[in-house]
Amino acid sequence: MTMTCFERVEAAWNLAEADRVPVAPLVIYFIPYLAGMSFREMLSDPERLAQAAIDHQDLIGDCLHPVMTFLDHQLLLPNAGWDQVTLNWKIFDHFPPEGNIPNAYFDKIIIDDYDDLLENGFAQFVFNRQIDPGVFHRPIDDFIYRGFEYPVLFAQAWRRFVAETGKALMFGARTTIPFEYPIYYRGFPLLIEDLIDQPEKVKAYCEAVVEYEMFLGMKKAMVMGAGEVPGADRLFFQAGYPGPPYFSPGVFDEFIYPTMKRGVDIAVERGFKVHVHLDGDMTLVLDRLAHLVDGLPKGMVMLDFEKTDMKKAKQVLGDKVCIYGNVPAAMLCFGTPEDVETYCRRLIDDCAAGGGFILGTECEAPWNAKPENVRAIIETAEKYGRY
Amino acid sequence: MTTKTEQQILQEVRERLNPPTDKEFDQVAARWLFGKNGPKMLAHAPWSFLLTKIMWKKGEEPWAN
Repeated sequence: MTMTCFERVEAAWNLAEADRVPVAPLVIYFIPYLAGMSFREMLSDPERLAQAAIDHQDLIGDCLHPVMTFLDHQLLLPNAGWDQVTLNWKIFDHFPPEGNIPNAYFDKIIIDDYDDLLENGFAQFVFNRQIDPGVFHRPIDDFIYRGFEYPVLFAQAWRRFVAETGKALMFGARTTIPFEYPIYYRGFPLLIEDLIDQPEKVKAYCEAVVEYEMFLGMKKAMVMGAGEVPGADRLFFQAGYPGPPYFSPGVFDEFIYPTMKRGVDIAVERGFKVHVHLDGDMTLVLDRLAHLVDGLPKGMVMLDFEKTDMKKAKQVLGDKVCIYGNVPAAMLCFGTPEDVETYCRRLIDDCAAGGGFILGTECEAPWNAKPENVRAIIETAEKYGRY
Repeated sequence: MTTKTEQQILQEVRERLNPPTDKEFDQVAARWLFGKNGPKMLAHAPWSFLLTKIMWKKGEEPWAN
């Protein structure tokens, strides 16, 4: 019996076999580029963004990842680690290479004293002299619009997408692991020193962030329609630098995993599912990741891998948690549909048995991916992914 | 148009969800924004926001120069 997109993906989350392997490449940057939208429009015009997704629904698969950077980039205060003020994101009209979103992760220090931050809170970020005064050229009305009115309009647009396409949302809100914040606000070199010189302060900082981060994510998911819109109850828990090759397994164990687990627990305890997006190659820490679902009901967590060995991931995690991945971004840009099909067939062979696998991209399909390659991911699931 | 199975899944989600109340969220947000001063700021809002003046980083207040 043929399942709907939502039913198929839910089955995978619950470690059950669906009618076929669900497929959901991350295409939310690629589609607006294909539709001729500017980068600025992509971040400002949710109706047009949703329409672009409706028009290119043959490149989406079963679910779409709508809530990536679009809600967070132009906010006043840190929001899932990405806001415009502290990081001075510049929004250009064009996609690369004409335009880009350079960031300031590595060339300024927003946090210069952990104690001060822990004692007096994050409000002081706005009053920090490291902040580029240029970001305050935006009127306060615009910050208020972005924080409170835009998310409602954004949610309305994606409800229309779901109603018109019959597809589900991959998640309803974006959150980030606490350890990501000091990377943004201290920069890599200083953070590495901190891990040696003041490890307890880094840990205290991560603990201070996690509850707010997850509460905010749940609040955003409710605006997106959690419980009413298929998939909106899932929180995307981003981990851009969660372990190897950026940090050693030892650093992962001591600094990253504890508040990653705490974040998952906070959300699941309140009934939200957590889509943990793990960039890098987590093969060396798969055994540890298996404990992320300890004490939690089945079907509430999904692990989304970038460079990780998927066959090994299935062996270690297959009976515990749904896994997602991982067609290489470079293959989508420079390979052929045949290359993609071969890669996807191997993923299906390695990971699909028994359910609990969603075929997807390695992080994301780049804006300049070839449409025929993205289409090949979906067609391979339809052709070779039958249970 | 959702199927019966989809409606059932969504019903289960609704029964499961227990999102933070506004009060819970405000408490967590106040701690995050104002650190140890969070509960006090929240208890005396909106007048307490005047206190932000004394919370500005020493030497970095806009009136410092």
